[in-house]
Amino acid sequence: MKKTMKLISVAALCSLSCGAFAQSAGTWTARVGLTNITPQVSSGNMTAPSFPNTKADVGGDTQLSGGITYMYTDNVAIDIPVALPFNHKLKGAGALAGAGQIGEVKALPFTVFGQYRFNEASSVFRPYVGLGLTYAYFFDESGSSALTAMTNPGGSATTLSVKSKFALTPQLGFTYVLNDKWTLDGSFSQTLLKTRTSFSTGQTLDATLNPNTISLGIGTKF
Amino acid sequence: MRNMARFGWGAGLAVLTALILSGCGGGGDKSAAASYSSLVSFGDSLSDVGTYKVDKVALLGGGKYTVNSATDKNWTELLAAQLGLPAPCAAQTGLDGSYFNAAVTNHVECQNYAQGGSRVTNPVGPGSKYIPDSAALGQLTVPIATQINTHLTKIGGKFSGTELVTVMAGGNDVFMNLGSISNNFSPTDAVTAMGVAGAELSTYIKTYITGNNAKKVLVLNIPDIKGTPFGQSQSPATQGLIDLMVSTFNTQLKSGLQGTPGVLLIDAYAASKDEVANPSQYGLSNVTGTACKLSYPNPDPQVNPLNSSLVCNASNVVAGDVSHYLFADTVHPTPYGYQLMSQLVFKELVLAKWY
Repeated sequence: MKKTMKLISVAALCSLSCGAFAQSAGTWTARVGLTNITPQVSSGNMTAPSFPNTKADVGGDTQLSGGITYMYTDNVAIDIPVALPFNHKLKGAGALAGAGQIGEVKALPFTVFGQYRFNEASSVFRPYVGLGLTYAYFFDESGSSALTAMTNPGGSATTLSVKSKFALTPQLGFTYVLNDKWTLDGSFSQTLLKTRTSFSTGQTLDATLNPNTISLGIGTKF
Repeated sequence: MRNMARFGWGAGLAVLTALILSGCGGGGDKSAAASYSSLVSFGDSLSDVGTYKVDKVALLGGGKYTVNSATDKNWTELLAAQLGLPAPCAAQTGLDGSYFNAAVTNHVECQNYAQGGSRVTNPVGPGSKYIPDSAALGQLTVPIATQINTHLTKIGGKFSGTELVTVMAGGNDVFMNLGSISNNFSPTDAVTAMGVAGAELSTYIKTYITGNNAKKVLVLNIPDIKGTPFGQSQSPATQGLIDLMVSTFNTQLKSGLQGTPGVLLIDAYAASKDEVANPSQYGLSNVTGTACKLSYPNPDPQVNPLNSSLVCNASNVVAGDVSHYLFADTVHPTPYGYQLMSQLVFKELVLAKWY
C-alpha cells in the first residue's frame, strides 16, 4: 500500500516534469508485465455418445508477459504482445458440474494490434483503442483420469485436442508516463473466439471462449 | 531525477511481484481422487463375471450375460480395470443342472459373488434347478444375503474400509414375482413383494456392509425392465405392472439407504430408460432388438440352446453390426451397454469425489 502511494505520488510529479517520455512517430517501446486471460465460456453440448447436457468450462491463468509497440505516427501504433504459455484447466459443466478438472490445455495467443492512441505524443496519460488479429494456438492438451473414466472406462486414456484458430481482438488501454524512462501500460481486450475440442473417443464439443485479457506492464523506449 | 527513476522501478517491481503471487494457483491434479484396495461385488447376472463359465457353457463360448468374447467386460470388470485393480473373478463357480453340470467350487481369492439368477434373499431365482424349465441348467442363484454372509465369514466379519463394494440386485425378484402371479398371488402381492425385497436389500447393506466398516458402497437400483425387449414383448398392462414392481423396489431401496454414510446410490433405472428413449445420444444403433440370435417359442439347440446371452458370442449373433446394440438378449446388455453403464458409474463416482 505504501509503495502504491509512492507510485501515485511519483506519477503525480511526473505529470509536471516527465515530458521527456514522448511516444512520437518512430518510437519503439518494449514492456514487461503480467497478463491474465480468463475465458468467458459458453459451452455447447458434447456430441454423442455422451450424457445429455455434458458441457465444459475453462479456467483462467496469469503469466509473465510483455510486448513491443511501434509508433507509426504520433497516434497510430502497432503493438505485439508476447507471453509465456497460459495453462487453462478444463472443468466439467452441465451434467458434469462438480466433476472438477477433466483436462488441461496450453494456449499461446499471437496477436498483432493496430492502435489509436489519444492525446499528444508527450502526454502523460494516453488512452488507446485497438483491434487485433489473434491466432489462438492451443497445444499440450491432456485429459484427466476422470475424463477417461467417464468416456472410456477400463480403456486407453482419453486424449483431446483443441482447434487453434484466428480471431479478432478489440482492445481498450492506456499508457501512463511514470518518469523519463518508464511508462505504465494497461489494457483490456476480448478475443472473439469460438473453437472445437475433439476427443479421442469420437466426441466433439464446441464452445465460445471469448477470453478476457487484462495486461499490465511497465515499458521503456529503446 | 535519478532517485525518482529508481523509485519508479521499485514501485513497478512491487506491483509485478504482487501480480505474480496472486496469479499462482495450485498445480493440476490429474490423478484419481480416491484409491481402493479391492473391489467386492454382490449381485446378479449384471455383475456376474463367470460363475457359470464351466462345463458346456464354457464349451459353447459363453459364461457371462452379454455377447461373450475374449475381451468383453461387464461393468464390474470395467470398474476394476479403470481403478487399476486386478480383474475380478467369480467367488464361486459351478452348475447344478441335469444337463449342464460342474462341481460347485469356491474360490477364496475371488471377491465377485454375483451370480446369474440371484435374488435379494430368496435362494430360488431364474435358471435355478428348482424351476422345472431350468432343471437342465441348474444355476446356483445364491442370494445377495448369503453372498454378503460368505464374504463376511471369509474376511473375519469386518471390511477394512478401503474396499469399493458394489451391490446390484432386484431384477430377478421382478422376474420371479411376475412369473408367480396366479389365483393365489395377485399382481398387488407381486408389487408388495418387491417393496419388501427393496427394503430388505437396504437393510442388508446397512446392517452387514456399512455396519461392518465398509466405507465406500456403490449401489445400483433396478434398471428399466419395461424398456427391455422382454418388457416390450409384454402386454401394456403387464408393462405397467413391471414398471410398478421396479419402481416400488427402487423407492424402498432409496428410502432405506437415505442418509447412510458410505453409500452412493446410482440411478441405473433413469439412465437405462433414457438410453432406450434417446439412443442416438448414447451412440446406440438398436435398443429394441437383441444382438444374440434367439428363437421363439423354443430355443434352437444348434444356435443358442439356452435362448440366453449366457451362451452368446460372435458365432451366434444376428446379422449386421451389433457393436452398438444395447441388448444382448431380452434383458442383458451388450458389452457396449456395459460400457455405458460403467460410464454412468464413473460419472457418479467422480461427482461424489469417490474417484
